[in-house]
Amino acid sequence: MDSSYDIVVIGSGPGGYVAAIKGSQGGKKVAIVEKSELGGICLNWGCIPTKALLKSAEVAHYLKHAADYGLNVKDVSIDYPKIMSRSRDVAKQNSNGVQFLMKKNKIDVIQGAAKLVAKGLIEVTDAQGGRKNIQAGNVILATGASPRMFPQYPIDGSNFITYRHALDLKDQPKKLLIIGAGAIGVEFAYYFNTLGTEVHLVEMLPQILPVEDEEIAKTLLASFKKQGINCYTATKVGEVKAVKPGVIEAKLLDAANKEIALTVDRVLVAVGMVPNTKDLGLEQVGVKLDDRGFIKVDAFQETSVKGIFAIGDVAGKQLLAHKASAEGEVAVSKILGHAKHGLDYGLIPGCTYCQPQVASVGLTEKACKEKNIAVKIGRFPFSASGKARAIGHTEGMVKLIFGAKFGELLGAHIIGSEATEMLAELGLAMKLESTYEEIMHSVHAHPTLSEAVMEAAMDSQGQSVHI
Amino acid sequence: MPTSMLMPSLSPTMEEGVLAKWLVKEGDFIKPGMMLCSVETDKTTVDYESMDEGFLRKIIIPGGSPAKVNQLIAILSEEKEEDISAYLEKAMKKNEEQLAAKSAPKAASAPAATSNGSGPARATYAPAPPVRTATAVAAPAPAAVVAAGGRVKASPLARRMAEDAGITLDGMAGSGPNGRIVKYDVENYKPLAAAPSAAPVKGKSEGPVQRPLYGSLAPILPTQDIALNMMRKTIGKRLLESSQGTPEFFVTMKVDMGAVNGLRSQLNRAPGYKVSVNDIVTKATAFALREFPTVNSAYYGDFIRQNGNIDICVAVSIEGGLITPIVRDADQKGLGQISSEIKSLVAKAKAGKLAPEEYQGGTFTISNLGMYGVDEFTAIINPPQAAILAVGGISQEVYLDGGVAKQKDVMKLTMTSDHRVVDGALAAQFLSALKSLLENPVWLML
Ligand SMILES: Cc1cc2nc3c(=O)[nH]c(=O)nc-3n(C[C@H](O)[C@H](O)[C@H](O)COP(=O)(O)OP(=O)(O)OC[C@H]3O[C@@H](n4cnc5c(N)ncnc54)[C@H](O)[C@@H]3O)c2cc1C
Repeated sequence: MDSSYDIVVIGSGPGGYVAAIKGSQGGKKVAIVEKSELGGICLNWGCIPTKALLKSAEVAHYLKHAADYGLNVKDVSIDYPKIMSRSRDVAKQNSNGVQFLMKKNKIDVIQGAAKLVAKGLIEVTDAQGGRKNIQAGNVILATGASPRMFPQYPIDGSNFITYRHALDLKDQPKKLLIIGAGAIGVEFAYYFNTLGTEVHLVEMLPQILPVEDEEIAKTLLASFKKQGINCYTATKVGEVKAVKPGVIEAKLLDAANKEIALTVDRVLVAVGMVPNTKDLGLEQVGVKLDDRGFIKVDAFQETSVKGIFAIGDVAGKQLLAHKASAEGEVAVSKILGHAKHGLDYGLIPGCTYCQPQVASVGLTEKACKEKNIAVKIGRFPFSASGKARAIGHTEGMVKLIFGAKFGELLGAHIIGSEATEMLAELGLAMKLESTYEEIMHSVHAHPTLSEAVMEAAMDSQGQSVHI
Repeated sequence: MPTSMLMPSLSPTMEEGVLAKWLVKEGDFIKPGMMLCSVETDKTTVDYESMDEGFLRKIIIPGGSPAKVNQLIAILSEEKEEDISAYLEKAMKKNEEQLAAKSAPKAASAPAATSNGSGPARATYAPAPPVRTATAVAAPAPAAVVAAGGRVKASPLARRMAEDAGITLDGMAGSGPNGRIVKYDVENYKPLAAAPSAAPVKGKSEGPVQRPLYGSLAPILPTQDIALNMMRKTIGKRLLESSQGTPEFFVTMKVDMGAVNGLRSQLNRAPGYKVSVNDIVTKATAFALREFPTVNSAYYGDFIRQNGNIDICVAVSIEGGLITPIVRDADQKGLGQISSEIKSLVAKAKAGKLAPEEYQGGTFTISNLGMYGVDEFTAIINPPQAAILAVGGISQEVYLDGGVAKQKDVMKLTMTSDHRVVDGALAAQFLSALKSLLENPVWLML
């Protein structure tokens, strides 16, 4: 193996492996260095295995309500190890898929931990401690992020766990405290609750899914409460202590400073991520970090050192897989010399895959208010959708926010059973700078849940047909 | 692996351009950012920067030849010695198919080879339309011109914003995929010349800065480097070429303007007319050119084109540069018509709204700085034209008439001629004919 490359990518998550493929497609000689599994967090310990688990929960939910659909199902029981092994198998298959893609694109996969020794020189240490140097014309850092650690929640893999342990648990917790109601906390809350765990979900901020539109988050909160999840918003976590293995006492302080005492058998800490910037030799080569510790990049993902790029979670902004991949494309197009635009971060969709699902792109109603943008808002509840009634998922709504002056789509927010799949057309509409007119005049097939999108656009002009 | 290099689209309305000159040669290693060739578009000349890397193996379109947008112009390869013959054959075939497909519906627009074997030194865009016997190189043009029909690619939001601001999207450069005009482009659109009809971008009034000019009170303007806009670049390049590449000489003649002044005051008593000295000079020049067709010529390297039409370019200074709109067939038009045409052309020029046919071509140019208090000056030829007339202002001169001191109004005309076309004596004869016309302006009524 020749050890000199046009591009060396460090980290093989959705940022890194996509960048590597794009580089290779652009005619460059590319290597990718990975210290653990190909595919990064996303494929192995994030997006994909969680979605596998959530599917098991959804099936369980269906079975619980099978009688509503005229089916009597008896003797339903949960095979927890099987749910886990299915999730691990799905992850494994995806990781193998990346392996295949690397081969197909003639990308050298180098197993080991990479460190920048000098600009263009990388030292890789493999699991056995063997070292080798590789040379790179350009380096793309895609090392991802790790869960933030807090001294008061000592992660031990049994009493205190992170998503990583939750994805590999041998037994199902009976009573679970989840700290943090971002996407990860919310997804696990739905998952465990649906499988029968008693779930307590705590969020310091006034709403669950703090980045989502307030109205949507409230709708989800109501649904979660109805499903039996104990949700505590604007609530601080006080002392949490394992009094003995599997018995953890926690004190919560709500907005009125009222103390709530809980005893659980597990605590899942899902509060924030920190970028993986350690032991990369960044300081040595002069790659600068921003004040939050993420690698500082320009609009084309180039760091403070020319020829060194950073993408994905390690470069901050939204910590999402598709953002990582899109940034990878930007970085490579810069290297290939045809970059025109950086990424528009206002157009990155965000999805949460609990039930009902939450999906959004663009500005929230509150953000529009803060920016002083006059808006026209259209809503359409799924309870008024024929299709939603037919499939038994009438929860949620589509909420579209348009600029009052020009009618352009500023934000799209959906909560409902297929919200994450329905969002795509709205991302495209925003990208094309569409107005309510294009959306409401684009004929949507009947019966589909997506008709609600068209109806919401109509509603923004007071012209909805079905409400 | 070999790759194709295609004719770029360098302006929103560009369909075809002339690959004026290659700046690299076959065998050269090309890197992104290197200047590859200069391309004359429908508006101006642009140096085309490479976005690719590789060895320039074969030039398909030689310098001086036209090519359609996306037409194959050269082949690159990754390796210096790589065999490109198979690729070349395929690429040429594809190219021909594409060209055939393109030209099929409008065969008439195919570029015809110029009549002379090696072609003119300067590019001409298309065969001249039958009525016009000559096509000259475009004068520097403002960027925003009306697109030649067809759909303007723009986002729905951009359309609404433009409509609201009263801006036309025609000719606006789009930064979206394939030149699509998006919100950003409308937000950042600056009309080339502040036009009274085009609504100004809100909140910005571009009036003159109120600041005392003299004395030590005023803060001095900071030194600044001003980027060259396309028009300045084109003016610079064209005129430098002209003054360096043309054997120029200058002939000056003084004209008694008493009769013109008299005629003007009579004419301007006619309701609705306001004929200027320049209008009269334009008409007189057109008549003089009819008498001296050699002056109404263009130099094309290996031939001289004596133009059948008398199309006079009138230099107009506009924000950011100058432009020379054309009074077509000036010898056949009355003073009233010339006067109103010039007025409307000047207004359009200042608004950046001239259509290409209103400033491309022309057989002779008049530049008048009289209104700035200039007595006399020399102008640089607007190539490929053979001459240009520089008109000074009217001033008073004392002369002796039978021992009595009298005063008369005089004006100095200076003609710059290309000696390859016009000889000294001819220039003198032309000017003296023009002088006679101006001193006997009633002849213009003939
Ligand atoms: C539970 C969970 C669920 C999620 N669900 C979603 C979701 O549904 N949708 C979504 O968009 N996002 C989701 N995310 C976020 C998503 O996983 C990340 O945004 C994404 O993985 C970031 O991609 P990346 O390429 O930046 O880094 P990562 O995927 O984190 O990959 C980084 C890789 O770099 C390797 N690496 C690090 N340092 C070195 C080194 N020195 N040498 C060699 N290799 C190194 C690591 O081993 C890792 O494989 C989820 C995250 C979690 C934790």
